[in-house]
Amino acid sequence: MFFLQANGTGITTTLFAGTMGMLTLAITIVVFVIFHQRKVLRYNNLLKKAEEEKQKILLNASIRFQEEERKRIAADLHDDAGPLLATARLYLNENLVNQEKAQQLQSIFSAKQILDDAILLIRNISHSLMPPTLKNFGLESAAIDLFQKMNASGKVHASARFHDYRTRLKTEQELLVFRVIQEIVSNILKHSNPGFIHLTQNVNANKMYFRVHHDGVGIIQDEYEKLSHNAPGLGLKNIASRIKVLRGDILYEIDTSKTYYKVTIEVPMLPLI
Amino acid sequence: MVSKEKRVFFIYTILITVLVITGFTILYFFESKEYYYLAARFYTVIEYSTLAYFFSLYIKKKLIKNLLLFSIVPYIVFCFYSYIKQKVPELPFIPVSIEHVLLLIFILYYFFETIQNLTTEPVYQKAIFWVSVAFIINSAGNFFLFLYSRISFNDEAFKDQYTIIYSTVTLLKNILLCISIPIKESPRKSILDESLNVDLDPFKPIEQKP
Repeated sequence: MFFLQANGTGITTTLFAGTMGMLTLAITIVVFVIFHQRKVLRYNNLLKKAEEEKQKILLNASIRFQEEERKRIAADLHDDAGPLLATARLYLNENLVNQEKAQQLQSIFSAKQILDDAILLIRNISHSLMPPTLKNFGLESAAIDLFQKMNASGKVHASARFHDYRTRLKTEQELLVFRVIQEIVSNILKHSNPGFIHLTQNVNANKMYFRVHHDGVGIIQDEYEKLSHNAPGLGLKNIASRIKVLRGDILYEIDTSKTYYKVTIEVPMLPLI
Repeated sequence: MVSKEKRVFFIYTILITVLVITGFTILYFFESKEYYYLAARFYTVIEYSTLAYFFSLYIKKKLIKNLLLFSIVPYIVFCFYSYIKQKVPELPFIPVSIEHVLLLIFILYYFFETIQNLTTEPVYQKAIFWVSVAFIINSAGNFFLFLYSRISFNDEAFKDQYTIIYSTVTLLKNILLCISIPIKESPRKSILDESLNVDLDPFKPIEQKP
């Protein structure tokens, strides 16, 4: 109140000081906001760079995986199919016509058996590239088939249950999801020593969820992030890159009861890029 | 397509221009101080109402947004009340002071929200930032001036000070507002925070064990 009652020079000084004080305060706040935000942006950029680095690792892993697949297929064709066909060709050479009838029949029979083996081998290669159940009957049948085969081995109790698969994912999405499930299951069997593996599927808010439960030694999200980044293997990196292509998400967690682990895959039911 | 925010600010500019022209016409052509003060009161009401609405479009927290919008009604009521209660016609210094205090509070809150949110572009690349800076400078710079004006406006020495400070701060405000005009903003993105924790089925792991 003293200031408000002051007169003459008092007013000028107080008014000037007050105004300058308020302006300084306002400018300080504005400068603080700018600098704080710049700091946040710098931090965001660092995060972005780290993310880009991760993407690069995933891309490299994906390329390496493709190369390894190609090598495997080439090796299968070269080492197995090649000799088989070459042997069949030996049986069916030009001298066959000059041979005795019984020998001819024997050669043809042997060649036929070899060709059957070659057909079977090529079919196996083809099936490993694209499972026929997946192609013909969809993800639900392929997944159930996969889990039934695992169950039949007798080493692990495996089951799969699809709750709502009335709307199928696109073929490309189905293959990617199937590969991810295969990789998850293969990792569980390899490292976790589980008693059971169970797959469930459901739909919620235009998103499809797949969850793999198991009671082995599992990993949680932090470990998954670390391993998919640093581990030399390709498995987790492939999972991450496939999830990225699906525009989905993945979550590794342990159940609140601490009795089993869960891996949940989220897939948007949208057109694929 | 012009955004809602830009349309509101355009309306604010038009209304303010019309009221300033009306005020000075009344003062210099009709030489009526009483109506000039009334126009100034309208100016204050319109300025606060449009600015409150304008800033409410940017504030994300619903409670503060609603508070800002609902503050318009009591403010108008108060302006009207102070008008009918005044003994002699005068410029609306108290309503103006209150307007500045309210604007300072809400702009500070807007800044608080800005530093809390994660964005990908610098804050000074947004028009709203420069508008906020303009009004925070205007409110802070004129705050003491309007407080003193209530008791010292008839003092000639004070009037000189008033003119200098008011003109400087208003000029600064207008320059800052001009900066906001050419800024082109990228559309705002919403990041959906969705949880993966969806209950898929009544799965009983114990029953599934072999």
